[in-house]
Formats: sequence, C-alpha cells, structure tokens
Amino acid sequence: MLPSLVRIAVRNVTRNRRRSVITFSAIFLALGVMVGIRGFLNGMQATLRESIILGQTGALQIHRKGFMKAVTTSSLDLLVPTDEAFLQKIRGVPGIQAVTARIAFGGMVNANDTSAVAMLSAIDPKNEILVCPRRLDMISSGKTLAEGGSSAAILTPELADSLGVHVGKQATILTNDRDGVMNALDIDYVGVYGQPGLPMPDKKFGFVPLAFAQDLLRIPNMASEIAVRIERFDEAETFKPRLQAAVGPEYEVVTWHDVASFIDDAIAAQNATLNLIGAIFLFVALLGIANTMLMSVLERTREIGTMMSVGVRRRQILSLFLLEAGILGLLGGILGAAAGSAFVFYYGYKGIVLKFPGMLAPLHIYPTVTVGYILFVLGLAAGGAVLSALWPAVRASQMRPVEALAAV
Amino acid sequence: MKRHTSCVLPVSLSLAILSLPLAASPGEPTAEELLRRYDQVMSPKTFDALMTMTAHRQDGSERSYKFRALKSEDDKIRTWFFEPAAAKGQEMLRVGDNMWVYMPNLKRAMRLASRESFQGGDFNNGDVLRVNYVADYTAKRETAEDPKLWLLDLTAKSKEAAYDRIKLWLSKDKQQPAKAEYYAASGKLLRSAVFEDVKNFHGHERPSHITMRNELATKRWSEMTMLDMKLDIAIPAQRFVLDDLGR
Repeated sequence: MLPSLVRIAVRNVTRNRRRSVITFSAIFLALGVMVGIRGFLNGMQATLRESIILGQTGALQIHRKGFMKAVTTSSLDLLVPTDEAFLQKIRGVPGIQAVTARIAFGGMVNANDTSAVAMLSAIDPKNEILVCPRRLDMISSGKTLAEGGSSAAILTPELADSLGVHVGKQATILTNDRDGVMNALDIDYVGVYGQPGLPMPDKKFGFVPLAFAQDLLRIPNMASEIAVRIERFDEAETFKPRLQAAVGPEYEVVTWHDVASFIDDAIAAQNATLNLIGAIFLFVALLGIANTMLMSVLERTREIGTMMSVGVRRRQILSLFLLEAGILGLLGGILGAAAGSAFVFYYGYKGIVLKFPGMLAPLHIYPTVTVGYILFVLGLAAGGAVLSALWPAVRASQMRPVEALAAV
Repeated sequence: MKRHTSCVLPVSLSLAILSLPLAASPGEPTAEELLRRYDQVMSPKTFDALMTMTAHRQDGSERSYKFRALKSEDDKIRTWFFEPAAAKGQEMLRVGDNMWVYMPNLKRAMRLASRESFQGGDFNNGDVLRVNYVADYTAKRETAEDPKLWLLDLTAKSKEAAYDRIKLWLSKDKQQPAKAEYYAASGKLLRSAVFEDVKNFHGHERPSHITMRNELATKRWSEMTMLDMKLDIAIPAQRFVLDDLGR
C-alpha cells in the first residue's frame, strides 16, 4: 500500500508544476545558501585559527606554574628551562612535531639619543618557524632573524620611526635583568615587522634572538614560554595531559583555546549569525510549503471526498499530503545541498584569495563542509516541510466525504 | 568678547585675593617655605653621598645596590654604582630634564626617563636624581590629621617631574620630612614613603632611612639608606658632563 501512496504523492507533486517549482526553488535556495555559507565560514574559521596558531601562539604552550595568572606576561620571575634535557622531555611526547622557546619582556630601545618603551619578544630563529611558520608572512622587508645574525632585530615601523633608525642601522635595548639590574646590548635592525596602520597588539614591538635576550636578561637556558606544534589543532586538548605528565607539576600546559580564547568566541559568534540567517531562509521556504499544501488541499477537496468514498482511510489521506510535502522538501533540499556542496568543493579545491588593503599576506580560504552538516540540514528541510504541511494535511484528513464531494 | 573678559577678570582677581589669607596663618610657615625646607634637607646645594638601596621583591628575595651620588651647585646629579657586581661601573647623570645611564659593557650612555624604576626597585630615577621639588612642583598647604605634622599637596609643573601629585608630611618641630604619598595623574596611589632615623651628617640633619612601599604590587618595597653625606665640597664642573661618564 505504501509504495502506491508514494507514487500518488509524486504524481500529485508534478500536477501543478509551476507551484511546485516555486516551492521547490525556495527550499533549493535555502539549502544552497546554508551549505554554501557554512562551507565558506568553515574555511574562514580554519584560516583564522591557523593564522593565530601558526602565526603567534603554537598549538600548545608550557609555562612555569602560575604564569597564566600573573599580572604581567613580561615577568621574569616565572621561567621555564630551555636546556636540551627539558626540551627532550617535550619532544619525546608522540605527535609533537616541533618545539620552540620564547621570552616576552619589556625594555627601552635607544638610538640617536632618543628612546622608546617597547615590548619585545625573543624567539629561537631556527625552531620558531617550525612551530609558527606564518611569522615569516609578517616580515614586510629586510631579513629574518635566522639570516640576520646573533644580535639581529626585527622591529615595527612605528618603533623604528620613533627612534629614527633605518634597516641596516644599530640601536640598543636597555632593560632590567632578572635581578632588576640594568643591562644593555646593541641590536642590528635587519627586518621590518608588519606595516604601519595594521592592527597589532603593540605598536612598538620587536623580535630578537632567544640567546641574545638570555644574555641581556642574564637568564641563561631560561625562557618564559615554550610552544609546540602538532598535526591537528583540534587534538590540542588530548595532548594537554600527556605534555603535563612529561614536564611535571611545576609547569602548566595550556592550549590555543586558553591563550587565544577570542578565536572560539569569534567562531561561536559567526556560527550564531549563520544559524540565524539559515533559520530565516528555511522559515520562509517552509512557509511556502505550508501555503502550497493548503492551496492543494482546498483545490482537491472533491478529490479527497472521492478518495474517502472509495475507502481510502483518513490516516492515508494525512500521509499522502505529508508525503507530498516531504518529497518537495527533500528533493529541493537534496538539489540545494548538492549545489551548495558543489560550490564548497570547487572553491575548497581552488581556494578563495582575499586581499585586504594594507594586509601583507593575502588570506587563502578553503571552504569545507562536513557530511554531518549536509545530512543535518537535509533532515531539517524534509522534517520542516512535513511539519509545515501538518495543519493542511490534518484538515484534509478530517473532511467529511459527503461535504467534500459537494464542494465546488 | 572684550566685555566678557573685563567681567571675569575682577571676579577671579578678588577670588585670588580672598583665598590668600587662607594659605597660612601668621607665624606658620608657608607652603613654599616648607617645600624649600624639604629640598634643603633632602638635597642640599652640593653633596657627596654614599647610599645603599635594597629592593624587596614579590617572591621575598632582596637585591642590594651601593652607589655614590654627587650634586653640583647648578643642580646636576651624577651617580656611580659599586654593588652588585652586575651593576658595577654603571653611572647615571642628570642635567636639567635629561637623564642618562652609562653602560660599561657598551662604553656608551643612553637616555633614561625620570619615571622609570631605579635599578628595578620601587624608587624611580627621579626620586634619586631629581630632588628639586621647588622647581618641579607647586605646593598648597593642607591640614594634617596629626597635629604634629604639616601637610603639603604638591602638583607637578611638568611631565618630567618624578610624580604627578605628592602628599608630603613634615614634622612641625624639626621640619623634617615624615612621610609621603605619590599619586598618578588619575589620582591612583602609586607609592608611599616613610622617612625615619634622622641623623647628623657632618652638621647636616636629615632622615637616613627611607622606606618606599609599592602600592600597586603591595608585596614589593624598597629601602634607601644614607651611609654618609658630605656637604659644601668643591666638585669640578667636568664631573657633570656627558662625555665624562665612564672615566
């Protein structure tokens, strides 16, 4: 019995083609847009995540216990060792691809008898680019630290300009060492970091080699932070206990979720917006289905009466109309999702290049979408269609055959 | 516009005249006199002093510095560090608004700012190298809660002064500094100091021990102890020239 009901439903859907096409198009468009935007957002969120994790933080970080709660991150009281034995413990954790050490500190940079307060970041020139290769994208001109030598420095244009130094010139960093005693060392300004006007956490900022800073701050074999790289960023949480076990309880292990929580916040905000837009699209499309089915029921009143009088059960009438709506929703949904997926896969393969004015490296976005999401929105479209057809279908199933037959 | 000013001026003038008698009762020192007294006690016209500064840090450890400070007749100050070993050979110089530190490893002097920490402790560079409150602050007398103390409210005349605002208490009997509170422009309390242990250094009486509490990081504090202070000595002007640092 059911297959014949399906056959009748399909035939009914194709009876008023123009109306079905319009309804079908609404569902098609809604699903196409939902899958397309989801795919684009997935790509953008992955790019955002990568640009932070591979450009600044690393997937996980190790600090001395209490570091994350300390008032200033440039405190030299809470340090981690950077000797080979300690680093080996971290490298020994399976899945760790690269390890690098950093020191964040503040100081006065002096040149031409002027000085400027600056935030400085000391990095291991060789290992840093294994953990954070995107750092290199931020050097707009000049050399890298690895090419620049043992006292090389990469400075923001704001910092260099305020001191009146040009690439190739020398400057001096004056700061307090771990004990508070002043110390100063000369730097060679070899590279420019970022471009003026680009949003940056600190306008006056610079990079120096790790060994240079260890000398300047008189903290041999010490750093304020160790960052590691892993293959898949979403597995960071599973590495946390393993790294913690490797380094011991005197240290704290954090993931990019902890140090760059704004990524998760931004992603959550984007998703909420997408869900709202998707819900509105889908709601409008489903209103179309409800309208179509109601029209259908009204038009086919006599037909319903005839069916009932030849012995078709009320339940079957209900099922017939729900089936018709379900077919419209599912078909429109499948084709819409297919069109959206086609867009996602095409650009996922080709990549979308976004170049914002003033940005050094263009953004490469590779849209992706999961099978789970496609199945979810298809279910939503079909289920929603059935739900929105419920009232017209119930109305049809509750008609009295005599009255229905007599209707004009 | 012209009518406007001619109207405002007499009003503000009369206000100023009215407020004048409030500044000091007859027989009491004026704010300016007390400020001059502070400078005279803490930073006499010329001196050659030996001091220690001990910085007590958050983690409970402490670091001590020993240095010599020299002041010229025209208000220039130079210091030499002897201890600890890491600071040995470092020198500081202030001439007017300019401050430099000489680094022996670079054999070169670099600019310092008066509001930066003095060797990582809770005194700032201005506290040590720039004690000329008459030049740097305008003073107003206020009523102290303690009847034995005078209270001054000091406002910085320029950004180069060590602090934006200072509340300074002096004892009424000997007119020696007793305590002080140092504020940011926002009104936030940054540091507080207690002046103690008045000693006679070759005929000059002054507090020999200053405790400076860090009110932002309350576990931190620093002490400055005057070991010796000679006055009225002839110092060649050459000692207060930038090129002389390191020699």
